Amino acid sequence: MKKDSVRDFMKAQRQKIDDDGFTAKLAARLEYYPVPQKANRKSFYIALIAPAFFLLAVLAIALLDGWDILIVHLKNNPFDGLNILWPALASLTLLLSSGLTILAINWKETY
Amino acid sequence: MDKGAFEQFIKLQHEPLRRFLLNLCAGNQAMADDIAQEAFIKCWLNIGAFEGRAKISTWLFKIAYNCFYDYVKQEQKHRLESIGNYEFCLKDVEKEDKTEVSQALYQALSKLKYQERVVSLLFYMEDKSLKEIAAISKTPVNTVKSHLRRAKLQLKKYLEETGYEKR
Repeated sequence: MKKDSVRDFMKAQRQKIDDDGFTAKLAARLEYYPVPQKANRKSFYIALIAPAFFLLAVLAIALLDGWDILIVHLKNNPFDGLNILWPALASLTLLLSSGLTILAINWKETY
Repeated sequence: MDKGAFEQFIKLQHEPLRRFLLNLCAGNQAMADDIAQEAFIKCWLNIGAFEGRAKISTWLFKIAYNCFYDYVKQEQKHRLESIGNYEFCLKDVEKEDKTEVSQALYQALSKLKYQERVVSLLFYMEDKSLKEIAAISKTPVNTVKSHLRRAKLQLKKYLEETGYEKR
C-alpha cells in the first residue's frame, strides 16, 4: 500500500484534549438555560396557512359573483345573524393573533 | 433529549470539537474553548429544531464552524485582518503553551487557505467523511474534494521541504 505522508503527519499531530473542567463549567452554564421545547412547527404552519385559506375563500366568493351581494348585505344589515363576514373576520383576527403569539414564544425561546 | 443525555453527549463530543477548534485557532486554547462552549449552548438551545437529517455530531460541528466564522468576522472588524490570516490567532497565545509537535502542525496549516485548513482538519484529524464535511462547511462535495486535493498538495510540499517525508 502506498504511504500517505500527509495522513501520517496529521495523525501524528492529533492531540489528546483533557477535560480540564470544561464539561463541568459547561454544565454549570447550562443550568441557567431552560429546557428547550420541541419547535411547534405544526401549529406554526396552521397559524400561517389558515389566514391564507380565508383569503382564498374571500376570493372564491368574489369570483362567484357573490361579492356584490355580500357588500350590499353588509351595508344594509351589518349585524344580521346571517352575515358571514363578521365571524370570518373574527376568526381571522384570532388566527393572526395566535400565529403572532407562537412566533413571539419561538423568538423568546430561541433568543 | 433531556439535560442528562445532553451532558453525556458533551462528554463524548467535547474532545473532537475542541481539538478541531484548537487547531483552527492555531493553538489558542482560550479562544477555542470559548467557541466550543458557545457552540454547545447554541446546540442545546436549538435541539428542538434538529431534524435528524444528519448525525447530531455533524450538526454540532456545523454550529461550531459558524461560531468560529462569526468570531473571526467580529475580530476582523476590530483588527482589520482577513479570515485567511491564520497568524491572527497566534497573537494571543503564550508560546510556552505550545509543544514542538503542535508548532509543526500549525506551521503546516499556516501554508493553507482557510477553507483548505478546515477541510483537511476535518478529514485527516477528525475522520469526517466528505459528505459530512460538505454539510459542516455548507459547500458541495466536489468543492470539498478540490479543497482537499489542493491542501494535500500544499502539505506534501511542506513536508518535503521540512524533511518529514524521509523520516
